[in-house]
Amino acid sequence: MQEVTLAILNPVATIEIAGVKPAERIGDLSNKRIGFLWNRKARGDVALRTIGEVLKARFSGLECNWFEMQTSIALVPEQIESLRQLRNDVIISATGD
Amino acid sequence: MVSLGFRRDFWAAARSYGIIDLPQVNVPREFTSCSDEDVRKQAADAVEDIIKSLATRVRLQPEKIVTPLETPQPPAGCPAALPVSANVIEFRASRYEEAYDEFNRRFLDWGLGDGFPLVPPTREKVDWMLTGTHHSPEEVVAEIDPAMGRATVEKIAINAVMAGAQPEYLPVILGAVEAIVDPRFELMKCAMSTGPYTPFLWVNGPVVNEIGVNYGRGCLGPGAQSKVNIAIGRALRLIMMNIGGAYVGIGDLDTIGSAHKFSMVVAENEQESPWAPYHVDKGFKAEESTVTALCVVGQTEIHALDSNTPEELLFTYVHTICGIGDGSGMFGSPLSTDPAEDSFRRSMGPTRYGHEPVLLLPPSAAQTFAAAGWTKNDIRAYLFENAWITKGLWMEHPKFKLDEGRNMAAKWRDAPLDAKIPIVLFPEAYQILVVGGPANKMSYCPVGGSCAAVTKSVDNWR
Repeated sequence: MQEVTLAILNPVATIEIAGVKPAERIGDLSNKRIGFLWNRKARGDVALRTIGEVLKARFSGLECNWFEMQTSIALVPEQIESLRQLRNDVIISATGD
Repeated sequence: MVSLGFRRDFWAAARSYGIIDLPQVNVPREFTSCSDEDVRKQAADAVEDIIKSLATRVRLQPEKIVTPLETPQPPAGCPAALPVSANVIEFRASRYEEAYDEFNRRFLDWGLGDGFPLVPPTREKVDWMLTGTHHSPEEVVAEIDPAMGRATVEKIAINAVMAGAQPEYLPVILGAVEAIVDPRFELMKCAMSTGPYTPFLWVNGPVVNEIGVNYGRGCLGPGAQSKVNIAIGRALRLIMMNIGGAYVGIGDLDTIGSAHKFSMVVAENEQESPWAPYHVDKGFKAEESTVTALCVVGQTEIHALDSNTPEELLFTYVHTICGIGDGSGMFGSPLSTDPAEDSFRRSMGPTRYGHEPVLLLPPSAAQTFAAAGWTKNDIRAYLFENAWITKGLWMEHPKFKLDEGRNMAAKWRDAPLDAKIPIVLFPEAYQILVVGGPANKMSYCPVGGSCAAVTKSVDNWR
């Protein structure tokens, strides 16, 4: 029996992007500086502060810095610069409403 | 740290920014819907995993990542996986009808459609679609958020074929893509939100009658009279999915959804409007064709059948749009936004009003305003004066209570609680379009937060 072939062009796009070099991993948080980045969605601050409290109780010399985004979707250049100047070893943020 | 319902979104987003397999720590529920106590428990429970993930090696990423978009998981029992890297996907059967059905079944399984039957984008059909533009098929129009997929003219044409568009619609579709990737449109927010945000397109200029975009009765609804509108909007949605990665659960995290996300396109009824067309107000010539995109969160009827003066017509509109439950009002509120201190909005350019609600006026209502000597700017001035919410009522909103007023723009901090705060930053924020058929039924489209209307040329894409 003759076969029919329906050949479809793929509608799905590709992404072409420069790979990001991951930052060095941190094994021990003692005497480290952690930045907590809150996107101002409700209760993200409660979650991040809780994590900060638990980590401070666990690791000696841990410094916690707090940072609020101006909008929930993006950092503006001045904020990125401010974050960089804080020289945190680790940034912890929360996403997904 | 990511709530479970957003896992795939996180991985897809990380991939778009150049990191594959970024470690994440999952919590069961999204924090916004938990009590403070549950949030603390979830967060405390996550600490061990956070500590482990900080020590987990992230594999070195290649210098350049070229990868297909993350597409939805097919349902259990689906016999085939999407060959994501293939340029051509073949369906074989003993009859064409069976191959066509198999194509539609698989594309639905693979999440590449909007739920309605698709037109097969064969080589012949796509070449036919490409006759609608002089731009080269290889030209990259944009990289579309949130996945940053490369939107070549050909990829756009493929999705336009699937939507049932004709070649003469393609310049409008290309212009719409150009509009939604403009930073002022805020596509990331529009595509990804947990709210029912969607692009609302309106078309102006000669192309409206050239291709038959409906501007009259039922122009935002179904039916043959709106077939052009529907195909254009549908094409844009498929483009957002298959090129932008806005698949439900991956790049589109809408909680409930909206029927407007299938397609939301009109033309302005320039023939029956007593005023200059929208695009002329924006600096285009009347003989130029344009498409405007604005991220909206729905549509509400403004019932004004008993109204036949400007003030009566606007009474109902004012009392409809002044709702603090309106997501757009809450986020775009001047209570929390002041361009003078908002560097994010300043970075978008000098005309970033943000929060630009839409008033759709049928011709009869527009004629009522014009007969009384009102211009569109008179309408805007009236709305700016009369559409307000007191600071005290705003402060009752949970968002402001939670923030303890920290979100408030400096200029309102010392204002009394009965201060009247207009719901938009400037009168010019109100977008006014004349559309629709006979009857005094207006429509209001709340806007997605701080998103702005963006107008682009259609002629550039012919």
